[in-house]
Amino acid sequence: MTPLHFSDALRLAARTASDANAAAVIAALTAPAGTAGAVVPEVRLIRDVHGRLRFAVDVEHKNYPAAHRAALEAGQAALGPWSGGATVLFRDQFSNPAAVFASPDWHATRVPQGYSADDEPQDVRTVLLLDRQITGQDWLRTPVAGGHGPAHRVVFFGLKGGVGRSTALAMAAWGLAHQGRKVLLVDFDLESPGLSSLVLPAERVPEFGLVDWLVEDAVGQGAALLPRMVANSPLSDGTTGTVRVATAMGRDERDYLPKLARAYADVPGPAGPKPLGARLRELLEQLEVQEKPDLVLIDSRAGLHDLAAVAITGLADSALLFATDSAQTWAGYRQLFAHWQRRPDVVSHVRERLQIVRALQPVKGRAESLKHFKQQAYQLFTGLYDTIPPGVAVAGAAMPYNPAETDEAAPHSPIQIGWSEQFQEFDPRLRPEDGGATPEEIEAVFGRLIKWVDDRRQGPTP
Amino acid sequence: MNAAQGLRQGLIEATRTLDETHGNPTRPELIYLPPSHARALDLEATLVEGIRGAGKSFWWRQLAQPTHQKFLQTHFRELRWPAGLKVSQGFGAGLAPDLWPDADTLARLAGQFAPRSIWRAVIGVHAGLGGDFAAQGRWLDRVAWIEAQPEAFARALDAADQALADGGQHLLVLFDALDRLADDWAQIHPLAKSLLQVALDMRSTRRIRCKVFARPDSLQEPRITSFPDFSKLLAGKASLEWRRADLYALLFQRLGNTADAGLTLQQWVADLQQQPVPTVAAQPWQVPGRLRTDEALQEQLFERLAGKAMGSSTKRGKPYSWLINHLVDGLGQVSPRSFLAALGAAAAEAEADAPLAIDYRGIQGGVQRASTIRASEIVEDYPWVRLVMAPLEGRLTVPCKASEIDSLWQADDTLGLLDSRLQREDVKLPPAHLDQGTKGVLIDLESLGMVKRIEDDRVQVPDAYRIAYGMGRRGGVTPLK
Repeated sequence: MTPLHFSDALRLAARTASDANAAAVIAALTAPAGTAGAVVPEVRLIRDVHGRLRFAVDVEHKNYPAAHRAALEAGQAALGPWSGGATVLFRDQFSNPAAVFASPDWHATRVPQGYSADDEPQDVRTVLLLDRQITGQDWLRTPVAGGHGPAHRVVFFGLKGGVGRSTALAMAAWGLAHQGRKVLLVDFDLESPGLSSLVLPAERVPEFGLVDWLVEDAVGQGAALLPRMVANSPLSDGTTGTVRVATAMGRDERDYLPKLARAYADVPGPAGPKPLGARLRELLEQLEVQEKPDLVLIDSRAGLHDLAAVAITGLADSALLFATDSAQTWAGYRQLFAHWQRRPDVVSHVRERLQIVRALQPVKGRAESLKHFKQQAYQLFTGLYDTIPPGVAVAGAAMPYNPAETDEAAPHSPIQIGWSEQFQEFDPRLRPEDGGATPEEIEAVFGRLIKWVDDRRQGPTP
Repeated sequence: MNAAQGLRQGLIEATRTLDETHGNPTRPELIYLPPSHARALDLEATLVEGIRGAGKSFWWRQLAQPTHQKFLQTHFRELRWPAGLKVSQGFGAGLAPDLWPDADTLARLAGQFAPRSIWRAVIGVHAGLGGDFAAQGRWLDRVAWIEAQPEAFARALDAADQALADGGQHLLVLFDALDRLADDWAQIHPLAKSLLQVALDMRSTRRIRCKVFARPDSLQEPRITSFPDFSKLLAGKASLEWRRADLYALLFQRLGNTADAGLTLQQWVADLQQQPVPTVAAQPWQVPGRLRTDEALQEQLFERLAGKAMGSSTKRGKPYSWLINHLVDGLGQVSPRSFLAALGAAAAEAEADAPLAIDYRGIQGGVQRASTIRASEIVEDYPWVRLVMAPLEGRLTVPCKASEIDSLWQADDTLGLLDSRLQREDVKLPPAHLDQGTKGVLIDLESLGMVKRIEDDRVQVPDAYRIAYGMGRRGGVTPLK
């Protein structure tokens, strides 16, 4: 017998659970009227940190039909090493069943059943799945977008570093300040903090960084730090706006690593433990109340890291996905998108805030390379769009979300940032007369990005 | 009637139609000449190409009317026509036996004479050739005379050319509707080719010029273009292309001259340009220069008609660009006809008490309406398209593999039917690459802008056609029931 691997186990368990649910529906429909106990709660799946699966039903053990239970236990056994236990989990097995069954981390999850021996694609089973992971939960935690103050939050994210993400962020901040906006920059790249050196001279770095807040807040002293966490960037000198910066690391830091090591821990709170995502959200909201910015630009950690997940899925109103046209980039984004794609409830929240950015657009063969990039991006993003079935078209609110390939406003339609020698190893703090960039030069390379971000801003033009 | 309702009425009027019936010409102030079209209307642009609905027949008609000529010259400084310009029509849709031989006569003449002689006779009539030529009363006699007296014709033409020069005049003869030269392609090809040859010949005269309006696909047909000097014509070819700014300028030009919306629009334009706001509508009104090319300014004006966003936020796009993005065909073109039709439909669909003249739902509906128009136009021009699209209608989801289209066609033996129909009867403008099967027909559909082939053999259908044919669009998410 071939061994059962990680993904096979979920496929098998999803089939068992959805078969059981289908049988229960049929039983309920065919039961003689007035028969007690005809309605059976849905079978769900819990996957533990090792990937082992367990069937769970939100009902007391004694109220669940024995025949159903026996079928599930047989299914449990069939999972072999991926079975999390011999029995089904019922309400009475948990000390706080409400916390488990009402967790926001349950997602209706689509589990494609793969291919038959004849290579025919099999059906897709949908099952409620609670994925208990050590990390990565935040990729699926989507508070309602805009459920915060008036500032528009834009996350700058790249799968890998070195694509000019931080430079773009600095130049966007300058461009927005140039239009008279109040901009707050936040460095979420806790593990390689770099934004501050790009936008602040060493002596202007604020006393405390995000990491300080995370450790101090855990012992109830966060609020007092806030006024000493933000500094003015010289980027906004000579503009009618302001650029304020909250850095990851404070000035004269000597204990960064021991603080960072504690930053990821959940902190106890009145409503249960608070994970990092929720804490960073609180921090950002408090900073917004203090600073009253028009826009918040967030420099995200690169790669498929939890800090990026918090930023993109949990905080962003808009998320800029920086990409170059490499197989590695597309493969990475495909993995991320596939993770969302299986949870339709998550997809519908996340997809419209995304926007691909064509970073380091080569000058040579520009039209041809852009065409190729656009095709790749379109193919990638269609994975997040609704299928429009053939037939009569609908307009208005009932229209499925599936923007046309030619739609310039669609997430797949790239914002272009040209490659420019000038902006490699570039110091945005330099004045033009000292070798810095002129407004025209910045406009030529970053103009599209600045306009896009400013267009996303809510509220009236000052 | 409140302001929004007035604007809506104005939009309906402004977008009603670009086509006109005989004896009912467009009011000159509803004409807009995009800056890039000025070159196409220039005396020296002999060959002008444009897709269906780009304005070929429109200019063919307008230029021949002295009142419209005068209006254009007054209001569009890009036009550099010489003084003493006479414009006449040498062929086009409709009957005008004094100006050109109709299709039946052409068929008869082509059977007896060299087709070039026919077009020389047409030029002869418009140039007012004297002597024996003038005495020939019928097309048949004129063409016969030219073939019998080539030298006399050459002298008469030279004399007419000299007379134009002496009188300080220029003659421009316009040709349009090449697909109506005959009933079948076998006859159209030699007539069209000889017309292009004669048009080129006339460039060696001092004061006689021709202008031939043609569709891009006819200029790719070797049976029309295979003569030695075609490259000379091609080098000077001008195109009637409508860029985004041109389309919106056309809309504003027309809307600003309507009874119900003219004043409001003129006031908005003055307000945007920080000029005194008029209380009485100017008539005729001319769209100001900046509003012809400045897309940001155009967008601000269009926002007052259609709002800022395609939905509750701009995440789903802004009406100004969204509309164009969804009307564009596979060749990147939008015809003014479908643009205006979409806006007219959006205005007609709006609810009476809605605050905006049109909103995003109306624009979505308008795009669907425009798609239907576009699909029926293409079938008029290329009847075979109906046959190959029918098996795909309501069944295909795009982008798809070419093989999916192939199996739908296989199931109905579509290409076999098409082939046998082509054997039996003469189908206008048949697909040129039918002999290559599915792949060939897809190449032909691509050259019409109906499909786009992307790498690794996938096929995309732009919304301009996808909606009309009830095709789905692929996505990775099947919404939960």
